[in-house]
Amino acid sequence: MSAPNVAIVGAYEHPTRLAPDKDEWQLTAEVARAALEQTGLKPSDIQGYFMPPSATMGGYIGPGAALLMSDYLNIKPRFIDETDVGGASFGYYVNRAALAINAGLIDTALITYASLARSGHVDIGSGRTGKAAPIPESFEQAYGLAGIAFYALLARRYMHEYGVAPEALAAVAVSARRNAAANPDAAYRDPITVDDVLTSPEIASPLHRLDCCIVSDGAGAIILASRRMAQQCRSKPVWVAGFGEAIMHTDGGRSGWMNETVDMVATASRQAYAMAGIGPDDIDVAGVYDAFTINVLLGLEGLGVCGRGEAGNFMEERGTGRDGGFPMNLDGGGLSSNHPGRRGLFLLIEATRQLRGEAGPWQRPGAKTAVTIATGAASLVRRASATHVLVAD
Amino acid sequence: MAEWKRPLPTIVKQTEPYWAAAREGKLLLQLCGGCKQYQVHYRSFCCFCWSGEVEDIFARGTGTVFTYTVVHRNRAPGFAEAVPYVAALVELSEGVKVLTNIVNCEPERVHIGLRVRVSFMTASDEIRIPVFEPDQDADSNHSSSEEET
Repeated sequence: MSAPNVAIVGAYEHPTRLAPDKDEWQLTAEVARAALEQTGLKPSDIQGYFMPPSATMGGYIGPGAALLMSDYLNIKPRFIDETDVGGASFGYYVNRAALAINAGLIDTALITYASLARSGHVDIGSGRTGKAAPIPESFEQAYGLAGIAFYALLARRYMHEYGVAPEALAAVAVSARRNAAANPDAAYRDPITVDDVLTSPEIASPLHRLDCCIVSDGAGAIILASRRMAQQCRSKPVWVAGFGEAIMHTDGGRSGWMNETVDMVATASRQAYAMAGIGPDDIDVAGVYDAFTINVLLGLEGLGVCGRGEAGNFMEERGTGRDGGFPMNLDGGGLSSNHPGRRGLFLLIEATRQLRGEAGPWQRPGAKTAVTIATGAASLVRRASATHVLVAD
Repeated sequence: MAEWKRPLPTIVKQTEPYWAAAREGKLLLQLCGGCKQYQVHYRSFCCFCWSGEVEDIFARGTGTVFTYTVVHRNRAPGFAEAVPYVAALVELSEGVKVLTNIVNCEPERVHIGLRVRVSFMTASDEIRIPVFEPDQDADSNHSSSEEET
């Protein structure tokens, strides 16, 4: 492995979880300014810009967003992208920014996200309306499989195939809440038990309300820089040592959806590990996309830290708190801290905090290597996932 | 017929044969003349080998539940009135898997491995939507005990 050429030099998560008096534009400006402030760079130093055009259900700027927001922020990036793969988009932006930096096209890049998913009362994952597109929606939309129900299908198959009890899923939510207790910005910090999860209302069996992420307003920003530019920043760089991405879909009707999700994460993770020259045993802190509890079990198996069907046992045996054998989602994750429609960016911000040693009460002491997986969807099983290996300076 | 409030499929020339068959109460699959594989959803070519020689085949209409969920919450029109309803991935006898609903069945009776048969919901004068219901013709020993698919 050669020394990484790309670093995260700015990373800021807005503390708000409810911002009815603001809009996505203002929130974007606030997080971009705060992330830039960490670096000592000026707005005119931003050479690349990345943001999602539309969270399908939360985030409303629409196609051309990166261009429109460049106007609002009055920046003139030479490279923009708004690839839209749901919550995975932000991982894809890091990859595209890294490629552009490594190609010598740009030396800096800004990635932002802002959404009023909560105060806008957006029905994330539980409802969907509108005219069905000829392909593929017309073959699917009449069946009422919104986001939560999609993951419920994976959860049901996972439990069936590997003989996993619902308690293993519930334990993921309990872990997130336990970690969130240390994070004053987390939306929910009161402890919950496995029983609380299993007795909360079923939304789409076998998933209960507490198996689902929270819906928050929120915003975040990341600044990336080439090694040369990072050396001019006053912030402590966190190096992008490895990255990978992969997609999945119906495969013409051959996909069973659940194992293929693990395959997708595994493909992206193998690429990221290889680039970084590390393996699953080298992770100090992990960020695993937790829109629903089942995501985490499938994500851990895709990361290769345990075998298929073993993630629940793995979590219990290793421990996923900041003092545990496998510290994971230490800020409380999307299940308890922050999930404004899309979570991918916040995983990268949290990993950066940990590797800078700036996570405060929820800091994993001495964390040097972080791995994150951001997974998102275009529609149901048309999904994308990105894995990143980040290392401290 | 109850008023259809769920999203209506949009039919284009490429997918018209599928919807025409559904109108007649038939589930249409495609079999590739080149690689001999079945595919869903309906499209103008074979998605496996990209051959243009795909043959329309009426599905046997039978399959088993591969995975399912009982949806208790969906505020969208046409679904809010229907909860709890069952969404499922059904593995057809031809081997491909389709997203669908399981109807005419108490949600608690649905299980992985349940044998099902296609049926159709009428959405409009022109459009019928394939769904599945328990297969009364299937061996009852199998329908109650078969867990593996």
